[in-house]
Amino acid sequence: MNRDVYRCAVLSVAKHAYVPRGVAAHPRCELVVVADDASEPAWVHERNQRLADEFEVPYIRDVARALREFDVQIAVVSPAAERHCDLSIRAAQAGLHVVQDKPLSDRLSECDRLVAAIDQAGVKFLMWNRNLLPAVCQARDVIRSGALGPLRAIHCDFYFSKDAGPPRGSRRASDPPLDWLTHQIAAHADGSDGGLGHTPLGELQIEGIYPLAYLHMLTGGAKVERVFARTASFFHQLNVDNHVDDLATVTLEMNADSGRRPILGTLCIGRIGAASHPDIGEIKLHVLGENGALVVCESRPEVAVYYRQQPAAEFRHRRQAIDMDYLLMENFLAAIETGSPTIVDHHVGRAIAATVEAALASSRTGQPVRVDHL
Amino acid sequence: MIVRWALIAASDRCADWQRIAPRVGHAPLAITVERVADLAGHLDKCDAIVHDSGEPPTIAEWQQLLGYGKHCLIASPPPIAPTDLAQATEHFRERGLRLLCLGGARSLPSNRSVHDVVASGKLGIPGLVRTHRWLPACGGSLLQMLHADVDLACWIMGARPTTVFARGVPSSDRAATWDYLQLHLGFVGDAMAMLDVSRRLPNGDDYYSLSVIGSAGAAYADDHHNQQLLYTGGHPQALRTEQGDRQRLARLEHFLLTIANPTAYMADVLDGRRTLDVLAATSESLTIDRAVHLSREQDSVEVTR
Repeated sequence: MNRDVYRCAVLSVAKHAYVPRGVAAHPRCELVVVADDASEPAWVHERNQRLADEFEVPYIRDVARALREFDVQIAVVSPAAERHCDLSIRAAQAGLHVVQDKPLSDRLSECDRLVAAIDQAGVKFLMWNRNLLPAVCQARDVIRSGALGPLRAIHCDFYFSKDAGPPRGSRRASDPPLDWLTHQIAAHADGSDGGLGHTPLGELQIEGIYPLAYLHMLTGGAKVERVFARTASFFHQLNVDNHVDDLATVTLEMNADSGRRPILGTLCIGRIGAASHPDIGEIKLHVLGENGALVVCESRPEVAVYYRQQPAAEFRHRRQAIDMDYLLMENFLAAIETGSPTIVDHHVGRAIAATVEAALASSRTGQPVRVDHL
Repeated sequence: MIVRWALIAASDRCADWQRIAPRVGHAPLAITVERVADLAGHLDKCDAIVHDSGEPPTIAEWQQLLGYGKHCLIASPPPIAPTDLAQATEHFRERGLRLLCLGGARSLPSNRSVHDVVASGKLGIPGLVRTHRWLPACGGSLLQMLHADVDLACWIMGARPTTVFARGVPSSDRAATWDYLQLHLGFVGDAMAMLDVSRRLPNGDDYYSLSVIGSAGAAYADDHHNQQLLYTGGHPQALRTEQGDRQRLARLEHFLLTIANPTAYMADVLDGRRTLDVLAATSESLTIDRAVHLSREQDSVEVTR
């Protein structure tokens, strides 16, 4: 049923709050309650309370009660990664549409459970993504126009120039390994806690959704069937100590078995350190078609700003025309109201999670691995 | 040591080489011809040959070049198997001659800048080399066209990869040849490289980019950054600002250096073998549809003056 305004419940905001804030940026979405399980630790309750205070809404330490008593239609899910699917499933079973932060989950079995629950409930699901950035939309439009002809290959560089604690090799032999969760909790201060949770996650698992969602959209939904990958804990001691990657390269084979035109691809992804780029990082798309090619810088349009005593952490190049939050929610509301799929729904999210899992398996075996699609 | 060199170049390339010739001391350009066969009557006038006809030498031209008994710099490798090229290199070495096949990637000024900053240690340990080389439709072996970037990647990493995985798109008209290849390399110490080469661009300029991600920094050399805009109605055209004569000059200077310096040539021979090993593994990976794993190192080689 169409509504003027959709009432939204934020189910945990243990991580950075950009997803609930992005949802609230749409004039037809109103955050009315923040909720979480009472059993969560104090620091989670503290963060939940902070967001509730910011939006002047109640914080309820009982998810079922919040969903029952606040007349909500949308759940915004942003807890630690291992709880993503569980909270989303509970919301779907209560009949709510779901907007969820990435990654879909740290386990493929949880993704499968989510897909079943969403399909059974008949609700809409949106995996938060960056597909509606202006340059990515432009790339999509050029490809759809047919100017390049049928696609042959597509490549994405996705480097975040952020640090994740001290550099590799900096820990003395007598010191204990860095604890993943402790670091992620501390990283909340600057919003770089995307891997928040008890289970250590590599960059491929944390951020891989973004470039792989680009490739999915730009190829018109090509299916990744086989991957070959290399991963490394190359930059940060945190990743070394927790045996997860901060640099990965993936060869992607798409559509080879489906009867559609095969497309090759590659992904280079890494948390390459703050020193390695003046801004958020080098994020580029290279697209080759039968009749032409396209090279796109994801950050453009941007404005360059430099001045004396500029703080080191301030971006020199400021992105312009960023309507991503609004457009994502427009897409989500349209899906609710017309029955269309969301731009990255639970099936796409699951396919991406399976691609990542296959890539990690390939990096262990040193051979290409088939992607386990449902 | 004075080295007189002969130039075999297509007419549209002669002027480029002739312009830089005076900038190389003790190496006068002695004679210029357009075809390999044209040099046959002038061999007494030169000690070395530079071949840059815009296309790789044919098999017949290649045989002729080998027969001249001069140091040779060829811009593009001939269409022969990597093992045959290795054999030819060995043949030259045994005779105290130099055979260099510089695809050009090393001598491109921007690539040299990237290499030099990596070598300085400022970027820390190199972790990832990424190149895209997209060309308009052209003949020759696409596998050979990977030569330049494989060489470049190994040069920057300072090592031969231990893992090679290749995928490609065959030509639509001839299934036995490739229009597009991508190469995924793994090195000891977790470093990696991603290279691709295409010959499917429409007629016009090519595109090239190189990026290196190191443990302490990164370098990006990308045609995308070096385009100027020309407005003549409709969407503007992007015009690349070229890197001038420096690439050709660097190529020639290095060739002359190896003639004077056996140690420098020995390094080139080893690097050449390394590249051919990787190309052979690439070919095998394409055939078996699996990753190929190489042993860690190669033999030493003796080079005579």
